[in-house]
Amino acid sequence: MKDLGYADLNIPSKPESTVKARVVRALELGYQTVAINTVIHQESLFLKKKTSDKDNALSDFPEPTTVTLSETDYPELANKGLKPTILTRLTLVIKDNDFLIHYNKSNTAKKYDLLGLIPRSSNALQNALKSFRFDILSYDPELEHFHWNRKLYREALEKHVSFELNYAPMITDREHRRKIIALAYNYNFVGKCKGIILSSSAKRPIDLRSPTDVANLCCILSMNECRGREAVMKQCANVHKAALGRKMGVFRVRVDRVVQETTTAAVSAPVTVASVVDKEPEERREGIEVIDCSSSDSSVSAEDSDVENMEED
Amino acid sequence: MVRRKHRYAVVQLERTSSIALPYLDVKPLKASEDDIFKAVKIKLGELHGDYGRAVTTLGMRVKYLNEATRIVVLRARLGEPFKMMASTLPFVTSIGAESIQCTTLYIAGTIRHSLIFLEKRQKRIFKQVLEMFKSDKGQKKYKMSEPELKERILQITKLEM
Repeated sequence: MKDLGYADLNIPSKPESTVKARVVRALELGYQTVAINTVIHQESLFLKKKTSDKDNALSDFPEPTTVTLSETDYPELANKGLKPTILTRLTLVIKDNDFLIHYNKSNTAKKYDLLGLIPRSSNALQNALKSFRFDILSYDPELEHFHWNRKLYREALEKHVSFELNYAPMITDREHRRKIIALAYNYNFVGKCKGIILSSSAKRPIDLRSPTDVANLCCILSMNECRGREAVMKQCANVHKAALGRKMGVFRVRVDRVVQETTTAAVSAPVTVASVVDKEPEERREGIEVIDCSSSDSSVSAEDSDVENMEED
Repeated sequence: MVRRKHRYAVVQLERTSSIALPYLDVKPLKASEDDIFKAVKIKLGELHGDYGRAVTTLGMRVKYLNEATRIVVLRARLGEPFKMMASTLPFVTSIGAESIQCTTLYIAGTIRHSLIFLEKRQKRIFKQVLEMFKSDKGQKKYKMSEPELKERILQITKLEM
């Protein structure tokens, strides 16, 4: 897994003319990874029954936005010999589970690297957690609060979901500032601020701040200093890991005994791993099937040997 | 006697009008140490209330200010006072009549370390700026005639002389 460094996982793609300016400014301030975010409301997706909104509705998810950068755009990183990583992210604003119909059909929705969700009520969140897997749970300061409790927070944490707090609305507007501080205080009470990431949702390049400044916001948002620093670096790497695991899905590992060519040593030869599916050992796994070759026969087949199911979390 | 410990934050103030442009910003700041001190105190009162202002203003001081390079070194007592001051720096958006943006470059335990960091940084940036004065063929040519030098400076900084 490559080291991501400081990360800013929410740069909206809506004022399209300034996307490149914002990305270049973020790289200048010290960030190494950046994710470009497209927000889609559930009501704007096209349903055949509702014929009144035909013109405004989308028939399919939009393509992910890309930014081309040359080496002159990131001089500080190029001096160290590093390259920035640019990810793409999709955020859905939902009321109930009907968006799954559109999501499972389309192919463009699966091209995005990260997946986020903004639920409008706690019922919507509970229904989504049962059947749908996503990476980031975000918050829109223009929507109303809903009620959090410890059980809901723990459930979301177990499904590898991180909670996101945005700091750009705090800088521009006073009412939003109060709402976001109240939400952070709530997260502290309900779950000790585990699994929180801090990101900007900056619509102008002026609203971006350097990573040390963002980590120092932990004092206002009722977090420890440790959590503040984790929120900009380590937890973002965890989000990327969880997203990769979600895309890969369930896989299998097969353990075989290697028969050596010198026949005298074959009997006492220990069991070794022959064929392993191509992956690195640190990534999270949904479920593993390990085929145990404990019999002394040299030829092993999948049907004869015992199958052990291991689940890791 | 117990030693009083402080933290020194090295902060750069950038103008919002010159953030996205690739030209050097050479105009000096028109602000004094008092103006900066007041702007930070007012934001502290908004965010942390009476407790914030009371706890931080005991040991808070502006220790170094360079208007040409727009660098400020702010001091506060170790612990709660410094945490509160550091968390309000992203929210400071205007000093006097100008709109600016704060970025913390370094946090030091003594004045000496903060100035050592500054010296290294300015030397590194000076080298980068000197490279802009190359001649058109790419050679490093630092002895230029007066009209050539004026033209090159105007190109880099976009000032109106």
